[in-house]
Amino acid sequence: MATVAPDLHWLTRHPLRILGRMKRRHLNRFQIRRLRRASRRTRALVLGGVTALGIVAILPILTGRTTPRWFALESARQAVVQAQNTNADDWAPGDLRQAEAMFQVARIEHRHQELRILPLRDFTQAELLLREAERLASATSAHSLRVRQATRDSARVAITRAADSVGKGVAFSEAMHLAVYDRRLLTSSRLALEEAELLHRRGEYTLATKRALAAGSQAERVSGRAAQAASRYTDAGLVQNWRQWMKETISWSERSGAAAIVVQKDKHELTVYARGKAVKTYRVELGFNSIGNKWRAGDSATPEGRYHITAKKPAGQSGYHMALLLDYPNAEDRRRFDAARRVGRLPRNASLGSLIEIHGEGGRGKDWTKGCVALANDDIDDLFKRIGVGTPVTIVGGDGNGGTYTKLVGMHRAEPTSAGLD
Amino acid sequence: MRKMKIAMPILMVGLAVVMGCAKPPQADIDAAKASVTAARDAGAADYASASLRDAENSVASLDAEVAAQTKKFALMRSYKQAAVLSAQAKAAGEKATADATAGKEKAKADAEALLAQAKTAMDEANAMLATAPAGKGTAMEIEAMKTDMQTVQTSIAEGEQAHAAGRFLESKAKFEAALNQATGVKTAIEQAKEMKMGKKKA
Repeated sequence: MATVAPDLHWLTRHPLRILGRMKRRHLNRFQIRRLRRASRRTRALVLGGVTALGIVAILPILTGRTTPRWFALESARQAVVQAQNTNADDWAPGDLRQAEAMFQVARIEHRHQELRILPLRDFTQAELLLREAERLASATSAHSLRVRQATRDSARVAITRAADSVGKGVAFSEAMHLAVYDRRLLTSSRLALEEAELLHRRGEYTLATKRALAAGSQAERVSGRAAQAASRYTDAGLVQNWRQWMKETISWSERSGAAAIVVQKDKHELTVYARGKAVKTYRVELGFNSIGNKWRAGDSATPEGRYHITAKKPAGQSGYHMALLLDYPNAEDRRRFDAARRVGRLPRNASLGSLIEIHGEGGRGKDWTKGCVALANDDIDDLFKRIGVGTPVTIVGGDGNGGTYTKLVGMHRAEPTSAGLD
Repeated sequence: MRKMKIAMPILMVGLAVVMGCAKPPQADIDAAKASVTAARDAGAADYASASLRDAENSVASLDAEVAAQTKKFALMRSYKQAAVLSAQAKAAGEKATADATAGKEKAKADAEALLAQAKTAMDEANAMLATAPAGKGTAMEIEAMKTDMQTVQTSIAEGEQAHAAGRFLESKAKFEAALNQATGVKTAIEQAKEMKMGKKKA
C-alpha cells in the first residue's frame, strides 16, 4: 500500500485543528498519534504563552502601577491654584513659574500614561512629578504670602515714616511761614501721603511705598530748609548775644527798680520784669515771617533788638484793641539796613518800616502779624496797666533752650530721614 | 473568504491613513491662545485677575493634552479632547476679556466720578478763597490756601494724565486725595468764617 506523503504545511497555520483535518485526509493511526502529540505540545505551548502573557499583563495592575493618580493630580492642581490665588504672580513670580512648569510636566506625563493601553501604563513617574509640583506650589504659596506680608509691612513702614516727615513739615509750617515753593512741596507731600494710604488700603503695596517715599522725600526737603532757616536759634554766637541782652535788661530793671520787658521769639513769650524779677509772662504772637530778623518794611518779621515804649494807645486809638508803640527802628536797625542795602542784600528802593507795636487781638494760636507783638485782649489789658512810656523792651530770638524753633531744629537733627528705606 | 482577504488590508490601510492624518486642531488652539492674549492686553491682569488665571489654566490644560497626544504613536493620536479644551480655553479667554473690560470701565467710571467731585470741591474752595476777606493776619493764610489749591490743581492734572494713560487705580487715588485736600480747605475757610461771625456776635 503506497503511502501518501501528507501535505503538512498548513499545520503551521492551524495547529489546533490538526485532528479534524487528519481525519478528513485518511491518515494512518501512527501518523494520527504523532500529530496528536504535536497538537498537545502546541496546546501546552499556547496555554503557557497565554498564561505568561496574562501574568505579565495583570502584574502591573496588581502592583497599582497602572492606576491613574487622580488624587495626586487634583491635589497638585489645587496647590497651584492656591499659589495663584495668593497673587504669587506679583509676589513670587519665579517660584510660581517653576511650580506651574512642574505641574504641566506632571500633567502631560499623567495624561500620556492615561492614553496608553492598560498593561503598559505606569503612573509612577507622573505621581512623583505631581508630588513635586504640589510641593513647589505649596512653597510658592508660603513664599508669596511672606513676600506680600513683607511688602505690606514695608509699605506701612514707609507710610509711617512719611507721615512723621510730613508731620514734621507741618509742624515747621505752623511754626513759621514757608516760602511758596516749600508750601507747595509740603501740600504735595500731604497729597502723596494720602494717596499712599489709599493705595495701601487697596492692596497696592508697591505703588503705596512709592508714593510714601515721594511724600517723605518732599516733606524732608521742606523740613530741611525750614530747619536751616531756624538753625539761627541754636547758633551759639547769636544765642550768647541774646542772652547778654536779656541779662543787661534784667540787670537794668534790678538796678533801676523799674519794669522792663523781654520778648523771646522762640518761646513766643513776653515777660515783664520788675526789680530784676519776672513778674508776669504772656503768650504772644509775632510777625508771620518771624523766623528771621526784620530787615525791611513788608517782610512781616518781628525785629530783634533793644527798644523802648514811646507811646501808649488805649482802646479806641488802636486798631488792635490797645497798643504800646516801640521806637523801631533804632540806630542799630538803621546801621544794619544801610549795610545790607550797600552790599545789595536789599533793593535800593527798600525801606526800613516803622510802627512796630505790642498790641491786642492776639490769642489766635499762630503768628499772623506783620511784625508786631500781639497779645490776647485780656493780656494787653493787664500789661497796659503795668507798663509806662519809656519801658525798655528787649526782643530776642531766644535763650537757646526749649523754644519752638530750637525744638524743631533738634527734632530734625535727631530723626532719621525717611528718604530711603532699609 | 477571498473578499475578506482583499478587504482587510484595504481597511487597515484606510484606517492607518485616517488615524495617521490626526493633527492638532491648530486653528482652535491658536484662537484659544489669542483670546487669552487679548484678555491680557485688555488689562485682565489688573482688572480681572481671577478670570485671566482661569483662562491661563485652561490653556495650560490644552497644552498638556496636545503634548500628551504628541507623545503617542502617530496612528493612535486623537485630538478630540484637545478640540474640546480649545473651545473651553477660548471661552475662558473671552470671559476674561469681558470681565477686564467691565472692571476697567468700572474703575474708569469710579475715577471719573471722583474727578468730577474733586473739581467741584476745588472750584468751590477757589470761589470761597476769592471772596474771603483778606485782612491783616488772614491774607497770609488765604495766600497759603491758594497755594495749596494750586498744588491740588497740579495733582488733579497729574491724575488726569494717569487716567488718560489707563492707569485708573493711580488716577483714582490722586483724585480722592485731591478731593479730600480741597474739602479740607473748604472746611478750614468755613470754620474761619464761623469763628469770625462768632467773634463779631460776641
